[in-house]
Amino acid sequence: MTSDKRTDLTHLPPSTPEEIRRMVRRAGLDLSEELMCQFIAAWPNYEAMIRRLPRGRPYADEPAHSFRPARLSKSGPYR
Amino acid sequence: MDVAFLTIAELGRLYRRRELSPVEVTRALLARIAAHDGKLHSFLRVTEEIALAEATEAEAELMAGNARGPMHGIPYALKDIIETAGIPTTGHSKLRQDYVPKADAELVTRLKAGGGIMLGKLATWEFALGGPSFDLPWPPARNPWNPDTLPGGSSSGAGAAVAAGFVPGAVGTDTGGSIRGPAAVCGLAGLKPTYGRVSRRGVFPNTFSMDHCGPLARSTEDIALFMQVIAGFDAQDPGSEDVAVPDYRAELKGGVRGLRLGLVEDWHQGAGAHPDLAAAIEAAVAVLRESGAIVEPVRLSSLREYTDCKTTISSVELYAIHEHDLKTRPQDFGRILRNRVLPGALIGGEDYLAALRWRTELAQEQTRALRRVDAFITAAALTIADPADPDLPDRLVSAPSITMPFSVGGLPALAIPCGFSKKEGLPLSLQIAAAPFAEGLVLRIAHAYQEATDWHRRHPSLA
Repeated sequence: MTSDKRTDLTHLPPSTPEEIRRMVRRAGLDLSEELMCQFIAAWPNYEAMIRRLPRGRPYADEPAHSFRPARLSKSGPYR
Repeated sequence: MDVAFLTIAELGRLYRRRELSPVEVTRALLARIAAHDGKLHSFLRVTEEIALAEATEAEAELMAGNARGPMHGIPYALKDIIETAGIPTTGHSKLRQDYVPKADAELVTRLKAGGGIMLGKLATWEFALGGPSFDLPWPPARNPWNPDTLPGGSSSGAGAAVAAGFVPGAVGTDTGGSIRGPAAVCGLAGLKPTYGRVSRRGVFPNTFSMDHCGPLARSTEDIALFMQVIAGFDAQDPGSEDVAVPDYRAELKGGVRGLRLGLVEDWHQGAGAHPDLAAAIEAAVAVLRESGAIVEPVRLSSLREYTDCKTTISSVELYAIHEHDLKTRPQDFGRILRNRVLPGALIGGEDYLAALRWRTELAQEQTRALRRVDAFITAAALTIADPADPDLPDRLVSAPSITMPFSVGGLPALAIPCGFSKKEGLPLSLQIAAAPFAEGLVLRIAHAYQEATDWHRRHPSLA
C-alpha cells in the first residue's frame, strides 16, 4: 500500500461555474455556450480527481525529472 | 466446414494438412461480415480486394511449402487508429475521416511480412478514448452476445468482430484497459503487453506514457501466436524496449504447479461489481488451485487511487495531442471525447508531476508484491456489457477501473473468459498480470486455465 503520510487538496471548495468559465477562457479555449455547459457539467469529477492526488513527495521520487540521453541516441525520430 | 470460430492455431493446422485454404477462409469470413455486420457495426471499412489478394498470395506460398510463421494465411483486422498505407485511418472521428496514411504502422509491416490477411479497419471509441459515442460519423459497435449491449471500449470493433466470428484475431490498443475491457465483455482473450513490447509507431496516440498495442483472439494459444509476429524492438518508437522475444507458444507449456498467484481480492469484491463476479473469480481460483497453483491474497492500493493517477496523466497528455483541434474546431469532436480531453487544459504542470511521482510509487508496490508472488489474478471487468444507451452517464472518472492498475505499472496483463452472468448470460472475465516482459508466464497461467475449462469455446449466435 502506498504511504498514508500524504497531503492533498481535497479541502478546497469546488470551482463555481463562473470560475470554470474563467479557467477555460484563460486556457485559450473558445467554446460555444452549449459546449461550455457540457464541460461545466463534466469538470467537477476531474477537479475532485486532481485534488485527491497525493502531494509533497520527495523530489527523488521521479520519473518526472529524469532524462535519458542514451535512450535518444538509440532511437530514431518518432514519425 | 464452418470456419467462423476456428482459432488461429486450428487454421494453421488445417492449412498445413491442406484441408483448408486461406482463400476459402477469407471468402467465408467476408461473406459472414456482409451478412451480419449491418447490426454489429464492428467494421468501419472492409478491405475485400486487399484481403483476397493477400489470401491468394498466402495460399500459393503455403501450397509451395513456404510457410512464413504462425500468422501466415490468417485473417485479422485492425482498430482504426492503426495506420495503413493508402487506406483511410479515421480514429472513428469526424476530425480524421478523410485521412489516408502514406505508410503502415510498424505492427502492420510485421503482420504483412508474416503473411497475415487484413480484412479491414475496425470501430473504436473516438481516438481510442471517447465513447461509446452516438454522435460520430459511424455508429458505435454492438456486442454479438446481445446487440442491445456494447462491446466495451475502446477497441470496441475488435472485441465485436472476433466474438462474432468475423476474424480469428484483431489488433487493439490499450491505455487504461481498451484491449482487456472489450475482451472481457465479449468473452475473449485480450493481452495488454508490457509497455514497450509492441511498437506504437504509426498508431494514433492516446497517452504516450501508457499506450500499448496488443491482440484480441479466442484463446490464449492464439494470443501467443499473434504476439510472436508483432512483438519486438522498434528503434523508431521511443518507448520500445530492446528485450529478446521468446517463443511464446513454447512458453505455454509447463502448467501452474508450484506457481504462487496473488489474488487481489479487494478490487473485484467492492461496490459496483456485478453480483456474479466474485463467485466466478472464486471458481477460477479453485481451478488454478486444482491445477497445482498456490493462491494467496495480496493487497495493493485501491482502484480509486490507480484510476486517479492514470487519468490525471492521461488527461494532460491527451490535451497536448488534441489542443490545436480543441481550439479551432471543438464542435467536430464527439461530446464524450471533447469532455474527456478538455480537462487537460485546466490541469496544472504540478498536478501532472504529482501524478507521475505517484505512478512510480504505485508501480513500485506492484514490483514489491511480485517478489512474493509470481503473478497477480483479479477480474478483468467489474461489470458485464453495458446497454447501448446514449444517455448513460460518463463513468471514466467516477467509476474506478480494474484494468488501470496494470496500465500504471506497465505490466503485461491478460483478460480471459471465466464464466457468464446468470441473469443476462453475458461474459465475465479473469485478469492475469505478471512482471515486465513476463508475457510468457501470463500466457502459461491462462493456457493452463483454458485447458481445464471451456468458457473460451462458447460463442454467440448471430441468427
